[in-house]
Amino acid sequence: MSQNIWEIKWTKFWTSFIERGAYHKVIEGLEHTVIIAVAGLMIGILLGTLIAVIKVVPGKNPVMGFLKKICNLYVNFFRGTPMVVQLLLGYYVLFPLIGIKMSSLMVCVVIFGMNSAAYVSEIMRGGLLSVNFGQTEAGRALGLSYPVTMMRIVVPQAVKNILPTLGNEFITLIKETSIVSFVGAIDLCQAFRNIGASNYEFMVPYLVMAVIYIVLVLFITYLIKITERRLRASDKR
Amino acid sequence: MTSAESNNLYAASHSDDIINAKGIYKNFGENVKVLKGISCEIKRGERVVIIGPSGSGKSTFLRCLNLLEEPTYGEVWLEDKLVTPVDPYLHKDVIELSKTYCKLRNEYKPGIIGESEEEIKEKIIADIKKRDLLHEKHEGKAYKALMKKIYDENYININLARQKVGMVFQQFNLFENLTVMDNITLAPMKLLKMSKEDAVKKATDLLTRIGLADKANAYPVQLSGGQKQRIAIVRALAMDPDVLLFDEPTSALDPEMVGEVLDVMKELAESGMTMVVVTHEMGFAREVASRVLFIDEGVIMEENTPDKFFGDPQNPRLRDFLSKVL
Ligand SMILES: Nc1ncnc2c1ncn2[C@@H]1O[C@H](COP(=O)(O)OP(=O)(O)OP(=O)(O)O)[C@@H](O)[C@H]1O
Ligand SMILES: [Mg+2]
Repeated sequence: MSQNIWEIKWTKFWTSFIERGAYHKVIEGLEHTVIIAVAGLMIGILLGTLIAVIKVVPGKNPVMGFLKKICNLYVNFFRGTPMVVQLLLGYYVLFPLIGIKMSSLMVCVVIFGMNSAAYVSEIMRGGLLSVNFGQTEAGRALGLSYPVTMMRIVVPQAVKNILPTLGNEFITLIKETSIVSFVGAIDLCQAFRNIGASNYEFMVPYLVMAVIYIVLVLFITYLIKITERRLRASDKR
Repeated sequence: MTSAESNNLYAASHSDDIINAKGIYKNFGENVKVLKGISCEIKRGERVVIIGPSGSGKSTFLRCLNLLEEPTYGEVWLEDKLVTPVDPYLHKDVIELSKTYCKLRNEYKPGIIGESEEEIKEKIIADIKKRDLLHEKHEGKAYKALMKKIYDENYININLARQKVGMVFQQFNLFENLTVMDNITLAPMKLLKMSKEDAVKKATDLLTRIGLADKANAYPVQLSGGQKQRIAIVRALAMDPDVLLFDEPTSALDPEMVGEVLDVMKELAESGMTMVVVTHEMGFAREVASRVLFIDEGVIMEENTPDKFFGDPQNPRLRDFLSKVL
């Protein structure tokens, strides 16, 4: 009896997935999910590193002090509001106000990047502070400027130390993409919701969706492990 | 406020001073006063060794010379260029232009015995220094103009100045993320715009001199302490510095590795390199130094050639110190 029900449910799903071509949408959704997470993380790392470097500048230079205040405000805003709110604000308020026309996918990339930057900056700041200050002093004593010393010596060592945490941030981003349908973007989650809605049958699509997310995250975890091993080359004796 | 006086040194002086530290004070916060007025000139080819008890301020002084620490008062001149802000207390002519000075001069009541104008001036200046009376904001235009003139005529950006002042640290501080070769070539390529081939060739020559050419592609973690320190010296030498600062270069080493590092340093000294060395190696001081300084409680207590310094120490604290370490 119950087996029968599952069979019906599965057939319904399979029909729309293959025969009615819904798999196209799923693949597209998967693409968008990955694009938003990868591009978001890239922006997050670049912007987050910049924020972190500004935050750890020693001394009481007034210009730096001002920049530090702005960075704190930025980080507090993005960590203090839900991502959905940031997405809605970006899509319906910020970009229309400054008059930029962007696809909902692009808006998602930018907002995810800006959000991620706030979290990455805190991770990176910890990483920068974990690098022995002697490394900075040695660079500066040679005559290298502060930015060059940071970029060539301190940041690379910090990145190596925080790679596992950055990996977590990437996984978080992948999972968070499931909210992008709020601004009309189609991601993995939205693709499966559409399938479910098309035959009023949600159980199978949502189970399949969960499996795909898990596989995706496991795959990323594996990639991070490999990268980590590579970066640790300079630790080998 | 300081014993070091400038006699218009900023007026286009061409001395052979590589380092000239004038009246250096260093406070950490309000209460920790580490350096209390140190002045020291280091001429080309000199090998100055600094000794003193732990916590006396040796490292702090050395680090003030390349501005890893910013002096609270005083000026540091590297090759006749100013790297710190102008310290008004070191310039009599600046003080005389200040409103504070004018006010004190007008209010001055001559004593019973007649004083010459010069004596009065000295007295007031000494008073201003002692009580730290100058406040940039309230000293008037002429004062500011002269301060700016001195600054503009003599100031050099510290990053430029540091290219000529190498430093070797107690903890080596090789860049952990770079190979030995990249450690050595990074700064010459970035700052001297040396081509990669030239930089690598120079690094290879230097590594060969210290017998570590086979370590070019190793990472710092793969090296012994002695090897790290010799490479740190080579990294500094790759910039062709005019002076090398050493902060206890052998203190973090296992005893059996001290010799190999000291040998490299002796060789450098023989080649005519100007060196300032903070160390506890008295043998090295005797053998290599052209001048030895004893720093205690933030001041130079004694300063002499090694013969006299060790053979006939004057200051009781130095005698006490030497009796403990020798
Ligand atoms: N950044 C700092 N903040 C506060 N106090 C400091 C700082 N750096 C140094 N000091 C203090 O200044 C004093 C002198 O330190 P310094 O390292 O110059 O001594 P030193 O003569 O080099 O001693 P040692 O032989 O142990 O290396 C010490 O009491 C130290 O605690
Ligand atoms: Mg010290």
